[in-house]
Amino acid sequence: MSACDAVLDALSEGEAFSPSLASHLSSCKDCQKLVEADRALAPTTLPRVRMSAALRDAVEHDTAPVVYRSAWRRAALPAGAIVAVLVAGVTALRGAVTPVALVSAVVLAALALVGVALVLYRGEMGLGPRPAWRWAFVGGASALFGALGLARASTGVSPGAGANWLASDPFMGATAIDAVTNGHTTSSPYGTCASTGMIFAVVVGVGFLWSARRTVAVQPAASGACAGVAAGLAAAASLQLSCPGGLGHHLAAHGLPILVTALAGAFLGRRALAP
Amino acid sequence: MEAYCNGDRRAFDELFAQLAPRVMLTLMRLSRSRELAEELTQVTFLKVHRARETYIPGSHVLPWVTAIARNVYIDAYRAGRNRKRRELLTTEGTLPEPDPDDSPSTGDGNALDTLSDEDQRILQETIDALPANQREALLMLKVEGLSLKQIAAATGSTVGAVKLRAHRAYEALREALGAKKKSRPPESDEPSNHPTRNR
Repeated sequence: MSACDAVLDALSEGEAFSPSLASHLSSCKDCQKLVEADRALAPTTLPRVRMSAALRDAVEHDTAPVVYRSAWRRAALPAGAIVAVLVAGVTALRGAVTPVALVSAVVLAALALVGVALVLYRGEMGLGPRPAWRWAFVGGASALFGALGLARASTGVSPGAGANWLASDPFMGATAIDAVTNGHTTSSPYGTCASTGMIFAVVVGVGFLWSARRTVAVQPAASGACAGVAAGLAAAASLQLSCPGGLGHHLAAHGLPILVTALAGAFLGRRALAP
Repeated sequence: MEAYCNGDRRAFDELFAQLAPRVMLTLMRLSRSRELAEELTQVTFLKVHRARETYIPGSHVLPWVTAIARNVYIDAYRAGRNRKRRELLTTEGTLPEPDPDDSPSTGDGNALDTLSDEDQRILQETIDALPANQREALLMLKVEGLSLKQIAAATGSTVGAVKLRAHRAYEALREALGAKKKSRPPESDEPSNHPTRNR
């Protein structure tokens, strides 16, 4: 590395110049010019700015001391919502829980809790984890959901059972995918997985947004998408417990709420998850 | 900040007095408009007030406030981009060019006056022409005085990426300042075999 590049490095890192670099500076006019420009960037005087009346009013009308809530308390609402939909899934759907379905549901519920942590964790500066982690969760969890759908398909359950929700389900697109994938429309008591899943996902999602409101997320859309996927995963976990549907049904009917809540979360996150 | 979070109203005034000018200067350089920067500074501190419960006692305040200001700026930029007829924007839907009266090169909030007029102009033009993430890294580093780690936290990036952006910004500055020299006839007291030109 040349001495000029070392000067660039030192400036980029905000470090002081070593004696050898200082010696180089005394002889290199380009570096001298750059350092002069760098010094000129640092403010010596700052602009005057007055507090607006609206801001002053807002502060004066709300001077209550902050009541800090622990991380556990902030996580209690979304975690409670996840448990509630799992219980609802077991009791309301009344399906026969197979070992694979149970493992699948536990994995999805655990993933949903990871999503809760990624949205609510604030880190040492109160700014949360890097948005890339949240996007990685969105992609990774979705991929794992697909893999679990494949696992369910190989367990020998009747493929396509539960696919006959043409009459009652509003998500005709999902129904169509399922019909194409499985090729039949057997009747099933679990015919409204997509709509039930949406309700479950919304319950968890609302709890989530309430807990996470006004967090200072660096990319609120990433937080929102993460919360949406977590809510959809919790709903899918609940449905997985008792639904005997095949691969297409799992991916379409159980996956649709994940997709919808992820998109809704990314949209709402910019409004709800920023101060 | 902690006194303010505990309900001390005057502490907010103090916080505003200390941080608002620095935040405004950064917003001014990002938005290239004093009027917009002033408005966004007020919005930033309104959001600081609303989000004060998310501040972690004992942590640095400036990166936290900077992250809020950055969100405010991005929101304003997107809103402006989506509303092409908004008065703050040009008819092409872009942010307006810097107002000469607002330009940092006029001495408001910086030491650019220590440079020659031509260098001031080159520096300002180069900063304006930098990609947004490089300009942001440079301004946070130099104007706000944040560390690389703090910038990384405030922008949701990594320390390495921030350092790379700042490095590239300095490279652009060096090239711009060097190019000016090259385009000028060599002065008699200037060495003809300058080391950086021979690399």
